[in-house]
This record gives sequence, structure tokens and C-alpha cells, in this order.
Amino acid sequence: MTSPIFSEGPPTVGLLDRLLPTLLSLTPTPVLLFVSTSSDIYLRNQSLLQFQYRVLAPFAKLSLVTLVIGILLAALSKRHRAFRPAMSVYYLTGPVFLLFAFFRGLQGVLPGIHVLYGTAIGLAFWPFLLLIATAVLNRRLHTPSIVRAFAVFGMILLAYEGGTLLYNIWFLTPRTTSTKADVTRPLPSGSQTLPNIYHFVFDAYQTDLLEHTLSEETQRALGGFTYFPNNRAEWGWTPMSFGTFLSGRDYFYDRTGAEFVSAAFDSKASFLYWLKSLGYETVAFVPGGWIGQDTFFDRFVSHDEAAKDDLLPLNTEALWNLWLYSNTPAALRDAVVRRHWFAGLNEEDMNLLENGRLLPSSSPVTSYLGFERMMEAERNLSPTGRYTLVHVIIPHYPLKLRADCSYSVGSATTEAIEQAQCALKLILDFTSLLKDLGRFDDSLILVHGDHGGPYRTENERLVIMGRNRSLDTVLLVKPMGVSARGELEKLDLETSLLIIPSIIMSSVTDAGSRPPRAAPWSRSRAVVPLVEGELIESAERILRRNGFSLGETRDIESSQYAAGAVISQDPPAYERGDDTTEVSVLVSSGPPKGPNVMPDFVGRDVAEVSEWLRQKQLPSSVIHKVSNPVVPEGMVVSQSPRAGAKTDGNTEIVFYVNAGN
Amino acid sequence: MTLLVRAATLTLVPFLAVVWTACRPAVGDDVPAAVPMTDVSSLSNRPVISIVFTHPAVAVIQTRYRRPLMEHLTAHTPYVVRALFHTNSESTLGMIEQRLAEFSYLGVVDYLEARDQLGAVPVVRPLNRDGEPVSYSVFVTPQASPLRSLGELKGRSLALGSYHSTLSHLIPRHELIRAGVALEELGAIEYLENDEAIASAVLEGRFDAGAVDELVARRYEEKGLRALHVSAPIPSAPLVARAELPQRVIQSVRDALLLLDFDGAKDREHWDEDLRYGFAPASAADYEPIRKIIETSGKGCQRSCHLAE
Repeated sequence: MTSPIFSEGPPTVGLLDRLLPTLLSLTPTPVLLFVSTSSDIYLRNQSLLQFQYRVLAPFAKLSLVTLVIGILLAALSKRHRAFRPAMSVYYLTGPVFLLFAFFRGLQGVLPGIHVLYGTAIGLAFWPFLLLIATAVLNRRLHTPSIVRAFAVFGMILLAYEGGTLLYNIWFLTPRTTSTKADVTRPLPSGSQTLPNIYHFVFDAYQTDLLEHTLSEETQRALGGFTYFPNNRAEWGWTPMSFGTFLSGRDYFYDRTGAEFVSAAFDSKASFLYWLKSLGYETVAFVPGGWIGQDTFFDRFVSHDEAAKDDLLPLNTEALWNLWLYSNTPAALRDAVVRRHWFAGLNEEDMNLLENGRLLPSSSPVTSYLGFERMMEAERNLSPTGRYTLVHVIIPHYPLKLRADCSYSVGSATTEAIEQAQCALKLILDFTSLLKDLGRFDDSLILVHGDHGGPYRTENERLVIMGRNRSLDTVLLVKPMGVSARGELEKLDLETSLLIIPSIIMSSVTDAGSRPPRAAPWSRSRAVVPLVEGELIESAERILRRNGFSLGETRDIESSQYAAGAVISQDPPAYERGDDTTEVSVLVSSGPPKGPNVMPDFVGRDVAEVSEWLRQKQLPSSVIHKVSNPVVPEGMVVSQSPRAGAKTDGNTEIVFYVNAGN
Repeated sequence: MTLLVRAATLTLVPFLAVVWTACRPAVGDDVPAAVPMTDVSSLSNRPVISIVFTHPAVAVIQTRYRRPLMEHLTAHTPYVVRALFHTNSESTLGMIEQRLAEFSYLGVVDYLEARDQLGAVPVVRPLNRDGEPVSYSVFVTPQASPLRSLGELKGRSLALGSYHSTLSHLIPRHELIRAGVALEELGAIEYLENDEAIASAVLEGRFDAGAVDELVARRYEEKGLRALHVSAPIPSAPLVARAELPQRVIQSVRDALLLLDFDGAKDREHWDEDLRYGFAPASAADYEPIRKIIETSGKGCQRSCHLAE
């Protein structure tokens, strides 16, 4: 009996017709062993892997090597019968692995299954099964019909796995199309008279962490900076904290939290708007999560993008770790692999691996690499008229960085103090760079956290506290025109991150003043705060916090501004505030009143809508049913026109009501 | 040519068919909203307000627990109001401290701690089944127990709640002192995790008596416990607001809760029992008597157990 593989066949059948089914029949084993297993893990973790599909390259290579082995075995088994059992083993390895993976998924569902994975005898079952299957099927496996069956199976696998992978890579991988990411392109020239502003946000940089890492040497290196040890963040959550210190206002529940954060990036509420209007170039180096908040930035670089080449080996090894962990039977893993391969991981990491997630996303490492790229870019960026925002996830969890900011792939266990030392090192490295470039003295440098971490100091030791997170956060300021003299100056002033816009805008307003003016925190009313768009109660709070009081208040009807919102202010925002103590405002009294004003039905029961429609007898009204699982059936989830809008007999009134599940 | 067509048919057709069916987004990828909302007044445009509760069995009840109250508040305030849960009061206070929640339903002792440390503001107090904004701590004992008064607890075993509990720890200790029973005179005393655990332990005979919230005492009456002693009324645990929360937010939530009057309780039988009977306004002065109790009866535990060091 001749093997169908490389069979001679009728003379009319060409090489392709003979080879293609054979080749396809060899694909299930490498696809099942390496492609299916790795692509599934990749797709579940692709955002943590920064969508770097090149991390799959080792698995593609393994698949190819396996396929080549299959081809060799096929060729050899055609010539020598002795190789047929080996060829059969090759064919059956894939299906047996499929059974292995399938029943592993049933652990916890079918009783007793865990024995096959958690014990040495159970583990021995799988190679035994492969050998038995080979012995039984060896002769039948080499018939043309079986080869064709394997070929069809291979095609389906290739199509499914390849299709899924390609679809995800093609359609779901975010592509950097913005030219803003390219810092090598020249910026629109910033003002040559305005000093640079460097604004560093170190995530979760708690005051205690800085206190525990400050040495006499570092305090000398920070000469020129003022340190505010009694500084607090307003929020223990990064986006909301950004919302507060970019706008200088607290959240007042007059809009959604997301709108509040967005407004701090893309509206007049943001000091970025005012810096732009003064002629500043704006550059941001931030984590990938901020993509989309680039309205007021001329250059907007995500650390992921900047550090992608450095991250590739890191991500490749992370995927390899997870693949190995996921596909190694528990008994073998605990006996051998866990002790050797994963020896550097702590329990938390192992839990992550157990749950099919990568090792802790390497945000601190990514941030560190992005910071390095930022340092390289700094040399080529303009020496004046530039505002630079840098946000790094350091010293935030996970603890990956050592004191010198080095890291190793796979190991997540450093100490909070070590990562805080790395944060301090980055600050010192950058100030040193600025000094080398001659940009230190003129520039305003702000370094602060967005909130604290889960620590407190007890008996001079850093301990983890019960409550999740502190609001105590670092604030260091090097004012414009101050050189690196002396050592770090401590100021026992109660401050909050809400002071940031005031420091920045008053510094810019005072830039070039002769004689130089005192630091903004040492004089009340350094600059008039922005209160436009705020509700009057919020405006009053902002004014009071900045040393002003509410002056004359006049009301005016407005369809654009909500009732109670400040439409305009006098003096205008961010003027010097020395000459006045009061700010007058024009306040909206809401849209013109009248009988045909749309009420607010959102959150009410549809019965109230029906009653209102019955009374009003409005012809152009529609009630749409929508499905909303989080609110009760019959609740109005939205309406058009919005509450307060004017209506007439022709206005189309639409309600969306939850129809339930 | 025939060969090529065969090869193409053999490979491409199944390939394309399977690609067509196999293409699906990866797990965890964001899916666009099914119904895009136009610029209309909408629940999704409203600020979200969170009320954090402490509950020992958070995983079991989080989908239904407190839901009617949240729906009521969403319907009667300009906010979307949601419930959050933590299994311990320390984390609950942490949520308020970090501004991750706007309101919290705290026990009296926790409220006093939050007031001292964070400036928390009491907003309302729930009414009990008699329409009064008070609670009672009840000493329970098995129905067959020979005990008839607190004084008889000398030499007996007693189960209390954790140091942070008002009704199962602070007030019972105070009541024992008033009855002339020192803790040292008890045969044994143990501090259990929550009121349910205390009542169960007494029912099982592991303790001669235990002290629990009156709601729990009532529930266990049918199961075989009886009241040995009922404390003097104490102000019921308040809903508190974060210190710097805008007054109009506090007022809005307070108004919505005060709409729930005692007479309407019969329509709210599906609500949790502790919040079903309506609310009364709360003020810091309501809780000063409890602060005095903490200051005077904190032997062993001392003030630091209950209030900030």
C-alpha cells in the first residue's frame, strides 16, 4: 500500500492537487498547539499589550517549525514505513491537545476531571492516550480520505483563527493617524518672550512617599523648588483630579463627571485655553488613556506609542508567560514551572496569571520609557513659549521599577519606596537636563501627584493603611526666574491642587515684571479666577478660595445658559487681581418664562407624561420604547426638547421610555 | 485551469464562509452604544450620585439591595443615584474620604467618626415601624432561658458586635453599666462580626445572651429568641453627606427622602425594612448624646476605638 502523501496519482493531476491537501492536513497540529492558544490570549489582552500583534511572532515561528517537522515526517514516512508511527503521532497531537483543552475547561463542571490535570497519574494519561490512539489508528491514518478530512479540518481552523485574528488586527487595532504624535515635526513657533512651563503629574505620588525618599543630597539637587508638604488633591480618582487642577474648580454636580473632565481639557474652563490664547505652544506626553483629550495640544504623544519599540520584548515575554501558564497542567506547573520559570512572581501576579490576564500591565514601565523619550525630545523642542504636560503612572501600583528605574520583565515585586525613589530620580534627571540646556532658571516647573497612595507614616515608617487611598499628594513648584540656589524650601501652607491654574496663569501674567513679583502663593488675589459657566454658588466658592468676593450680580434671561450659571464676569478671567477685591457677574435666570415651556420628565414615570400630553393635547408627540436594564420599567430615560426649552403647537415632542427587559 | 479552479474552490470558499462567521470582536472590546442618543435631556446626561452602604454580604445582594430607594431618588432628584457597597465600615468611610461616593448610610458610631475626621453632614434619619426616628438595642436570649434581667447576666456568656457597631456593641455596654454589670463580671464575652451572627450564635446555644439591632431581634423572635432587655431609644443611624458637597445636592436628596412619609410605608413593603417607613431630618445635635455615651462608657475599648485618635 502506498501512502497518499506524495502519491504518484494519475498523470493528469498536477503537483498542486497532490500537495495542497497534504499540506493542509498537516496544519491542525501547529494551529491547535500554538495559533489558537496564543491568539485567544492575545485578543483578551490586546489593549494591555498596546495592540502590538507582533508579540505573536514567536508562536508563528513555532507553528512554522512544527509544520516543517510535519512535512519532513510526511516525506520520510512515504519512503520508510518506520516513520509512519511518528507521522501518526504528529497527526494526532493536535486532536489530543484539543481534547486536553476541552476537558480542562470542564474542570469544576464535571466531577473528577481535575484528576487528569492535577495529579502525576492524570498527566501521564494524555501521552498514554496519544500512544494508544496512534497504535489503534496508525494504519487508517494514511488513507486518502483521512488525509482529506484532516485537510478540511485544517482549512476550517485556519479560516476561523486567521479570520478572527485578522479581523481584530485590521478593524479593532487603534491606529495613530494624528500628526500631533510626531514631536520631530516643527511646532508653530511659540512666543519668544514667554518662559517655558513644565507640568509633571506623577500618579499617586503621596506626600509620605516623597518624605521617605528625600535625602540631604536630593534636597540640594532640588534647590529653587518650593515644597508644599500640606498639599491635598480634591479627588482620589485620576480623571476627576485632572478635571480639578486643569480648571481650578471643583466638581459641582451641574453636569456629568465625564463632562466635567472633558471641559477641563477642551473648554474655556481649562487654563490650557488661556495659555493657547496667549501664544503658548502646548505639548503633552501622557498615558494612552488620555487619547482624545488633545483639543488644546499642538503635540500629543502617548507613552505607549513613544515607547512601543522598547515595549515589544516586554510584551512578547508577558504573552509567552501567560501562554505557558495557561497551557501547562497545574500539577506540572506547580512541580516544575512555577518554581523555575515563574520564580520571580509574587502571589498577586500568579493570581493574575490564573485568571488569564497578563502580568500587571506595565504602566509604570511604559511611563518610564515614555519619560525617557520625552527627555530625548526636549532637546529639540523650543526653549521658550512652550507648555509641556507630562503624566506618568509612577509611583502608582504595580510596583515594577527599582530605585534607579530599572526593571525586569515578568517580575512585579519591587517596593513602594523604590518606585518612589524612581519618581524622584526622574524629577532630578529632568531638572538636570534643563540646567544643561540653560532652560531651568526661566521656566516654571510644577511637579505634583493627582492623589495619594494607600500609605501612611507611623513611627517614621511607611505602612499601608486600611482605607484605600490618601488625598495627600506631592506639590513642588520652581517659579519662573528662580535659579537652582540653596536647597529645597519647605512651606507649611495648606494648599490644594486647585491652586495650579492660579500659579500658572499668575506666573505668565507676571512674567518679565520688573521688579520680579512675589510668588503667587504668597499674595492673595494674584490673578482673577475664571467663573464663567459656573453656577453662582460654585462661582462664589471659587472666588472666595482665590481671595475675592462676589460683587454686583445681575440676572438676565438666557436660553443658552442654565438658570443660575454665570454668563460673564468683570474683571475678566486671569487678569492681575491686585486692584480689585470683587468680581461682578451676569447670571442667567434661565430661558424666558411662559406657558409653553417643556417640563423635565426624565426619571419620572411614563404615566405622568401621558397625563401631561392629555392636558396639553399636543398633536406632534411620540413615545418611543427603549430597553434600559438599569432603570425601572416605565421610567422616562430621555426627552426632546430638553427641559426649559420653548415649545409651540408644531414642536415635535419625543419621549424615550424604558420598556423593561 | 481545472486544477486551479478546484484548488481555489477547495480553499477559498470554506475560508471565506468561515471568515464571515468567525469575525467577531475580541472579549472586552468596547461596543458602540446600540441606540445613539441625540441632544436631548437624558438620564445619561445627569450627574451620578453614589450612596455607599456597608453590608457584610455584598456579593449576594448587590443587584437588588436598596434598588427601590435608588429608583425613588433618581426619579425625584436631578441626578442618577446608585448604590455602592463595602463589606466594612472602614472602607465605606474611605469612599467618602476619597470622594468616590457622595452619601453614606452609616452607623451612629461611624457617623461620629466621619464627622470628626471628615466633617460629614447628617442629612436624614430613617423612621422605625412606629414612625419614630429612633432605634433600639435589644438583648436577646433563647425563649427557654431562665434569664429575666440584665443583672442576671453576671457569670453568663454574652455575644456582642464589633467595636464599630452602635446597637450591638456601644449601647449594650452602656446598658450593662447602667444595670450594674461590669464586663469583667460576665462569664465570657465574644465580639462577633455582625448582628445575624450574634443572633444565630445565641439561638444555637453558644451564648446565654447577645445584643442586636431591634430589626434583627424581631426577625429572630419567630425562630426562638426573646427580648431580655430593650435599651432606651437612640437616634437612628443617619444618611450622611460629604462635607464639601454642594448644599443644593444635599437639599435635593434630603427633599426627595422626606417625600417618603410614614403613611405611605404600606406601599413600600418590597423595600428593605430599615428604610421603608420614611425619614426625618437629621442634625449633628441629634447625635451628641451618643458622643457622651462614648466618652463615658468606653472602658476597655476607650474612646479611640470609636473616635479618631
